[in-house]
Amino acid sequence: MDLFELFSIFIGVALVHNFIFCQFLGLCPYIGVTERTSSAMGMGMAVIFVMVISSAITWAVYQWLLVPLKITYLYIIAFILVIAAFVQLVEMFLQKSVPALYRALGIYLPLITTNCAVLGVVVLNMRLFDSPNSLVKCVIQGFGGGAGFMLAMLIMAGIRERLELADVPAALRGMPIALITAGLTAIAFLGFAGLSI
Amino acid sequence: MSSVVLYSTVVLGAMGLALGFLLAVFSRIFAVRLDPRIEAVSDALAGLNCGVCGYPGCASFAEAIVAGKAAANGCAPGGRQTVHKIAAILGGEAVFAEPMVAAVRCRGGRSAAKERAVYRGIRDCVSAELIGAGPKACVYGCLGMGSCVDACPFGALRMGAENLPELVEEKCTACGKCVAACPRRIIALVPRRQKVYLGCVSRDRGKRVKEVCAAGCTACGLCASPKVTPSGKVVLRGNLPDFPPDWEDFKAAAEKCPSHCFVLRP
Amino acid sequence: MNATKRKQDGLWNEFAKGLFAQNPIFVIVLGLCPTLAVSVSIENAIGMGAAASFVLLASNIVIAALMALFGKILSPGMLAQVKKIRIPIYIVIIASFVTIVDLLMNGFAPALYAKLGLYVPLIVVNCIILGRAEAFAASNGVVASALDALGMGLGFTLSMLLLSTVREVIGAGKFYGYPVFGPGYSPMLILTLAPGALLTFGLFMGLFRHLKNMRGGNGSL
Repeated sequence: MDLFELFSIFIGVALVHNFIFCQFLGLCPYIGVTERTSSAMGMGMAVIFVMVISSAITWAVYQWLLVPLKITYLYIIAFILVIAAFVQLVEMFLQKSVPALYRALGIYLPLITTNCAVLGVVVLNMRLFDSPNSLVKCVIQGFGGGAGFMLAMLIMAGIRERLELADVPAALRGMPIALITAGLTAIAFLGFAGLSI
Repeated sequence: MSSVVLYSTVVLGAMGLALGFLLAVFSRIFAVRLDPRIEAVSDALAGLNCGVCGYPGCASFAEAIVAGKAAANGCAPGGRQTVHKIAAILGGEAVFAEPMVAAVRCRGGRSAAKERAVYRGIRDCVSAELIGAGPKACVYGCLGMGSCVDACPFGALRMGAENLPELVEEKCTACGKCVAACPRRIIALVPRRQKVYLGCVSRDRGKRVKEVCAAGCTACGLCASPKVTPSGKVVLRGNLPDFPPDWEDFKAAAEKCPSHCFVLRP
Repeated sequence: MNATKRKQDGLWNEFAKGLFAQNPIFVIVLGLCPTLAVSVSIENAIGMGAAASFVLLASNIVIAALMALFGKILSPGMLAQVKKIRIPIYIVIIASFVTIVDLLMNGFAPALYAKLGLYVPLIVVNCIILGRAEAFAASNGVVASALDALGMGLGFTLSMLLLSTVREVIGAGKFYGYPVFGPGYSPMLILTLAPGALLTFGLFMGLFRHLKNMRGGNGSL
C-alpha cells in the first residue's frame, strides 16, 4: 500500500478541494453552527465520525450488493438510506451509553443526515472504487473530508466570535458578513490549488 | 431488463426492511427509560439554559428537581408560574424564593466621570478592561460599552444617554447574566423589596474619588451617622455604606448625601 | 363569489410567495450548496433549477397525497407512529425522483450532466426539497403543495440565475456562452472561482436586506 498515495488523497480532499471552500458541501450547518468555537468543534467531530464510517459501509453496499446484481443506478437511494439509518443508530447508542457525549453532540447528529457533505463524500468515493485498495482509500478520503470540514468550521467560528464585537453595517450583519468572510477565507485556500504530492 | 426490476425491488425492499428492523431492535436495546415527569418539568422551566439554577442546562435541572435534589424555585427566569407548574406536576407545595432584580451600581456617566485616555479598541467592556484597566479615570466605574446590554437575553438593559446602562425593571428576571458579563462586578442582584441601593462601588475615598468622578461615594460617613439614620442600620465597610435590604429610614440619607449616590427604586 | 376569489388569491399566494417573500435562497436560506456551486454559468443554473424544480414538484405532490391518504385510512395511533418515521419516508421518495432525474440527464443531456457532476445526486439532500416537504406538503393539500413547489422551484431558479448572470458576465465576459464585451475585456476571474460565489452571494444578501430595511422591513420585498 502506497502511504504517499493515501496522504495525497487526504491532503487533496482536506485542503486542495476543501469541502466548504472549494466544493460548497455542507454550507448550511457551516453557517448555522459556527457562532461559537465549542459548537463548531462538536459538529466537526461528529461529521468526521459519520463520514469515516459511512464511507466504509457505503463501499461495502456498493461493491457487495449493487455491483454483483448490476443495479448500480440505485446508488443514490442505497447510500442515503445507509447514512440516515447509521446516524439514527449512533444517536440511539450515544443517548444510552455515553449520555454526556450525546448531550454535547446531540443536536448536531440529526443535522448530519441531510448534510450535503456526507452524501457528497460517499459519492466522491465512487471515483476511487475502481482502483486497488479502494476501501482504505475511501475511508481516508472520508476522514480527510471531515478534517477539512472541521478546519473550515474552526476558522470561521474563531473569526465570527470576533466579528460579533466589530461595527458591521446593519444590512450585512449576521449571514451576509459570514458569507463574505467565508469568501475571503476561500481566496486564502485558493493558494492550495494545484498542490499535488 | 426484468432482472433489473426484480433485483432493484428485492434489494431495496430487503435493505429497507433490514435497516428498519435494525433500528427497531436498537431502539429497544438502547431505550432510555426516562421518568415522564422530567420532560414535563423541563417544559415548565424557562428553557434558557442560563445556569442561574446552578445546573448545566435546563435538562439537568429538571432531573435534579424530580430526583428531589433541587428546589423548584431555583429557576429565576421562570418566575412564579414555573414554581406553580412544577408544584402541579410533582404534587407538592409551591415554595417561592425571594424575587430579585438587577441593580446597576454606578452613576459615573458621561457628565460626572472623567476619562484618562482615548480608547480605540473593541467596543466591549471586557476587552477594554484588559487594556490597562480601561480608559476611565475611575478604575471601579462603569465603562459604558454595553457588555451587560448584550448579555441580557430579555432586553431588560439598554444604554442610556449618560453612557450608563438603564434597567427596565419589568423585563428583568434576575437570571444573573449581566452580573457575570460586567468585568467590574458593578451589577448586582438585590431583593425586589429593597427600595434603595448605592450607585457606586468605588473602594477609594475622599479626594481620590472626587478627582475622578463627581458622583462617586467619598466614604464621608454622613449616611452612617445616627443623626441622619436613627435606625443605625448603615455601617461603613470598605469605604462604602453597607445596609440591609429592609432599611426603612433611607430618605434622609438619600437627600443628604453630598454626591447623590443613593438610587431610589420606583 | 367571494369565497372563490379568496381561494384563488390563496392559491396565487402559494405560488407567488416562493418568488420573493419566502424566496428559498435569500429569505429562508436553504439549498445554499448547489446554488453557489452551480451558479458559475447561466446554462448550469437553468439546468440545475429545472432538475431541482422537477424533483420538488414531484415529491411535494406525492408526499402531500401520501400523507393525506395516511390521514384518511390510518387510526390516530398508527398515524402518530408513521409520523415518527416521516423523515426517512420523505427521503426515500425524494431519492427515487432524484434517481429518475439522474438517469434522464445522463441519457439525454450528458454535457450538462458532466458539468453538474456531483450536484445532481446531491439534490436529494437539498434542504429546500426536504424542508418544503416537512413544512408544507405534509400538512397541505395536493394542489396547494404543487403550487408551493412551483413557486419555490421558480424562486430557486431565478435566484440562481441572478447569481450566475453576475458571475458569468463579469467573471467570464460571457452571457450564456456568448461573449458580451469585446476582446479587450479582461474578466474578473475570481468571480468564476469558489470565493467569488461566496462573495457575490454575501453581497447580494446584504443588498436585499438593505432594500428590505429601507422598505420598512415587514417581510415582503
